[in-house]
Amino acid sequence: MTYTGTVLRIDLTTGKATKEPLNKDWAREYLGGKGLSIKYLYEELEPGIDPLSTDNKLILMTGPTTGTIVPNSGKLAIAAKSPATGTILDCSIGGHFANELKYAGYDAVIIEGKAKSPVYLFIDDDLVEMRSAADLWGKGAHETEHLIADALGDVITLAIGQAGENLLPMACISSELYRQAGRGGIGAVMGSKNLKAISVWGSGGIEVANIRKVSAALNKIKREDTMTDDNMWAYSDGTPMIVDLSQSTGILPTRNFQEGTFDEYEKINSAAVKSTLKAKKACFACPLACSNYVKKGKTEVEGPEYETLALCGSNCAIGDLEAIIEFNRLCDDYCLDTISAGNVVAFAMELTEKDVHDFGIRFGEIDNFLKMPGLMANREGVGADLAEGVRAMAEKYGGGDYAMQVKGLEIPGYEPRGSWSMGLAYGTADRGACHMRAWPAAVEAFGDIDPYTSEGKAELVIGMQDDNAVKFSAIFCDFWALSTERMAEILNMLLDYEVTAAELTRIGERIYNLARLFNEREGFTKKDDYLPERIFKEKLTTGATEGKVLPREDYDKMLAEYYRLRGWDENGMISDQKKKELNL
Amino acid sequence: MQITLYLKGPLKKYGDNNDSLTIELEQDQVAINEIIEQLEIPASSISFIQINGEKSDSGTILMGGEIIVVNPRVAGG
Repeated sequence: MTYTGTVLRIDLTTGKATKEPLNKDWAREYLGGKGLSIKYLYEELEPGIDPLSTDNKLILMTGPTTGTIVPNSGKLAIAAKSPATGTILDCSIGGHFANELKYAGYDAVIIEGKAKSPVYLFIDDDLVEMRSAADLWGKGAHETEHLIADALGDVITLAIGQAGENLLPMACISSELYRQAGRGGIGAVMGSKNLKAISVWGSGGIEVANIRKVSAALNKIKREDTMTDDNMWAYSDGTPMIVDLSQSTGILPTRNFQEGTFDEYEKINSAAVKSTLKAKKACFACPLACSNYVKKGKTEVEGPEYETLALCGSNCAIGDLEAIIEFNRLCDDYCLDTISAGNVVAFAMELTEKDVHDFGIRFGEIDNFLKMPGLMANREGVGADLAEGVRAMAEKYGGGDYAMQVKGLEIPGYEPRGSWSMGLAYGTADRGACHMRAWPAAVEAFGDIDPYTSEGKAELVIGMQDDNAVKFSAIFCDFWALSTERMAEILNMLLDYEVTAAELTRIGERIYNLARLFNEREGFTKKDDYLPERIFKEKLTTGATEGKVLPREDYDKMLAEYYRLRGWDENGMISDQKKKELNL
Repeated sequence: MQITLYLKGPLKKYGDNNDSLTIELEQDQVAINEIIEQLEIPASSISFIQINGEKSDSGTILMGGEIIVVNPRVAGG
């Protein structure tokens, strides 16, 4: 059994840390990671709390594969109620924090309350210390990590930058300099608790029955199912490969989603990124090593990932790779989510060009573009407005039809007018517009499924959402295209009970419904499952998607079918029968 | 006839690790899937094929002079 069976609960208000047993009934129903952290939050948070108040809790959750040599198991879930959306929020971060936490003896950490003054936590097996962060407050995440390493030696750290301290709804949490729990303002939850960083080191291990047999089986799986054509794109190119795919299918967001192709895409595609490559990097237990460490001119970063190239590149009409790398580095240091940051800058550019409000920045202006991360993170000048996200900007200045967000979370880098199922995936994602709950563009815009029909899309999106829910709970990285059958085979080597692929799909469905139930309890309804008007009304004007919209009636049809297949009513509320079926 | 083929990402191995291949063919026309079969690229490893920049069906007939890009499957996003 690869759970430690122990949860560490830390009350920052009192400074007290206590150990408690992991709720094993919940672990069986929700596995770990995404699912189990949502279950704890659902049970422990009062409805309607302010996400930035002491009532919110921050949960770090591992899974049954964490700390083992299972391929692509180096992820940690970090969850809370979202400051950006008011929905449930779980983020996934790679690196080496999760395995160290498990080796320190914990499946999870639940952080409550608020410290009187800035602190950071040090977890070293049984030793749990709350240390002053007075000298760290006000510093970027990179310097923070370096200073903590100077003080503590070999530790893995989760840290926030100025964006988290200043409670930005796009503040992320950083680890190992360039890895992020990115979306929904999870970094602001840390900031609201006066918590600058969490460092961990563990000296223990994970017990597996019959280690020789398990090692041999896992190595075989790694050879035959991980390091294959389906997955090695992650090593050969990483996510920048998607720039060419999106460009050729007309779904590369450009100029705040006004177009689906970018004339300068060859300056920001995988070939361009590869020309700056210095090294490949990987998370714990990952043979795919998707990360590109790059250097161009005077700047360097681990990245930029596709989302950054799309949202901060083409979407801002920036075709200068060095500028994108520098913007990426600044965002990582301040701890800004580059998906949201790219969106707000592009929205400010469009508002300025349309004379709605002058933010002093226009499409393609590199100098002003590079000033934005600092202005946003510190809420200075025009950055004070941009810091609040596109929904708040639209409420203040207008342009709501082209404020590209769902539930308050800015839209990732796949244009829904050229991938209708992506539209449905954004609309029904549990934390607002997200591509990690379901990524049907891979089989639709980039595959054989017709992108321009509503037929079959609800079933496609539901299947992916449920599979991903269980994948992010077990925990596996989403870059390994593994089946639930393979997940079951692996989990059966690690757990002290048997699980089937069908049961895992059911667990995924339970998790997705619990997330929906959390949001339902917070007052979210069908009206919150809609996309910006631009997607329904404005035709794209270039490339493969020229002339395309996602007609509202088709979206209505997909959404109605989605609710029906989910067993929810016509307003998107979960039926009593479905709750009973899933033991919710 | 002559065509130029770009094999992306891990598919490069099917072209002896060359980024691009220039292929001379005796036929006047050939279906793209015949080329793919000849190179022994499994269909399940391909997300989509572009011919002269456009997403194309694997049965598309080539007349010569085309630039073809074969993209691998991707996951995650």
